[in-house]
Amino acid sequence: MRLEVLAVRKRFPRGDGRMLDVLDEITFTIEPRGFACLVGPSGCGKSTILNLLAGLIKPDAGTIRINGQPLDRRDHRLGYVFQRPRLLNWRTVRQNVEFALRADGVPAGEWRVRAHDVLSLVGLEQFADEFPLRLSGGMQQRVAIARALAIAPDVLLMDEPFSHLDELTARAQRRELLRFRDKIEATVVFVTHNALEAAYLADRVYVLSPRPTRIAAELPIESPRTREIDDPYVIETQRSVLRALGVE
Amino acid sequence: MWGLSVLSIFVLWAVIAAFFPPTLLPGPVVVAKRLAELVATGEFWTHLSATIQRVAAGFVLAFVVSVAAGTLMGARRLAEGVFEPWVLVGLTIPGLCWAVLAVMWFGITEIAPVFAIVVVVLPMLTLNMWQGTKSLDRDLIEMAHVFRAPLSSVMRDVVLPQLMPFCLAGARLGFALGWKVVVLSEMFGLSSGVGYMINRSFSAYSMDDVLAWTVGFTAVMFAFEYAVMLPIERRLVRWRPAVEF
Repeated sequence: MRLEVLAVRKRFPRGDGRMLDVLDEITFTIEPRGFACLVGPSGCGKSTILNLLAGLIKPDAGTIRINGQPLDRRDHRLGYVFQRPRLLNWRTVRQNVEFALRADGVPAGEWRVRAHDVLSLVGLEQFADEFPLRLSGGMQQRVAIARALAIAPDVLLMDEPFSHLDELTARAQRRELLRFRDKIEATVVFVTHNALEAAYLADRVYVLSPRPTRIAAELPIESPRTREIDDPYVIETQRSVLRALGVE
Repeated sequence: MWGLSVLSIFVLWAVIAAFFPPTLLPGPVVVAKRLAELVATGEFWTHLSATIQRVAAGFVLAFVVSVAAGTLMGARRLAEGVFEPWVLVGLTIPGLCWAVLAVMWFGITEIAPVFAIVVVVLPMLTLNMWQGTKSLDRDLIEMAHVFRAPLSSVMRDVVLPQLMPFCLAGARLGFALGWKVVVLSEMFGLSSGVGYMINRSFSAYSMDDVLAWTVGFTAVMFAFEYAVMLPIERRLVRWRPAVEF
């Protein structure tokens, strides 16, 4: 599904009664099955963009379209991966995936197969009957990814999903994500503040400016999708991202 | 370890009893014999079941009301503002006052002990459910909304499992308080129940009987904890890895 964000603005009332401009005309398009990373300084409105894309809040101006249709939670499926796994720790891994299937209205007869498929995709099929707290942090986050993918989303939203993991675990998770990346049908929006992570994962990086947020730079990545973290073009893209952020 | 711990209580009792005349503190063997007699005549079970029925009725009433009131207080500011003074006042009034008042108002009826139990237990259970609801993980509820989970699923899969430990704590607390209040009520104004029998033994100055009733009652409560409460608790927390310090 093609995701189009067209001239979207968002402002919030501040404590003193004035308005705070958070998003100042954001425009970008992600092609079907594309993987876009949004990179920006902290407090730049990344969460606001995700909340808009998730349909939790409405833009003050502009439109969001999925395959040409205005975004509507009733017509479009959205998968969401949070910073923390946010699993139901009293339900097994499989039941956590089934929670999303039930919420999406999938008939109960299909749950088992679909849960199995999606857990196999993230490499956790043998942990289906475990409780989440028995798994490592990285595995818990992969369960969260499986839960989001289970409903076959049109758009998969990922909000700094590896930012709370230690660096070694996070690297392993990114590598895993790249491994099953091509099997994901969804268009992916991956928010991060980690330039290297963006350069490693994305096929297009959008660099966001500080508030009021605009798209400061758009960096297409032409390299093949199977990458190594130390490939020269990954390093080069990271440098471009950092330059666009004004860090280097 | 468990058996040893129970045994040590009786050993300690026997040692202390050796220093006192049996009219003041009879040893565990004497009391056990007396208890066996009471059980054999059926007297023990008659009065015990009267007491248990009162506690059960009062507890169930208080529990149902407290779950409704406590969750409402945790979820809605308005309800919190309205009920908070009630809960705090209710927590302050001693159970003894309610036991006396209940008998004065309702006389020697089955309403008196049930009323006393409800008014004593209700504020404590409501406080418990109120705190439980306030401690719900908002991130998980947001997650459920993002996935568009229906309300029934949000309640069953997200909210209730988080409230279960509080329900369990409430049940323990409610029963513990209920036993104390019902015995008081029975002492003041009833003609059956464990409290009544303890009071009668006290009037007859029979230390054997007072202790036999107390020990028998405690033993039944102890069995209830191990046969009912602990298995429920174990089932509820099996997803949680053991705590290590």
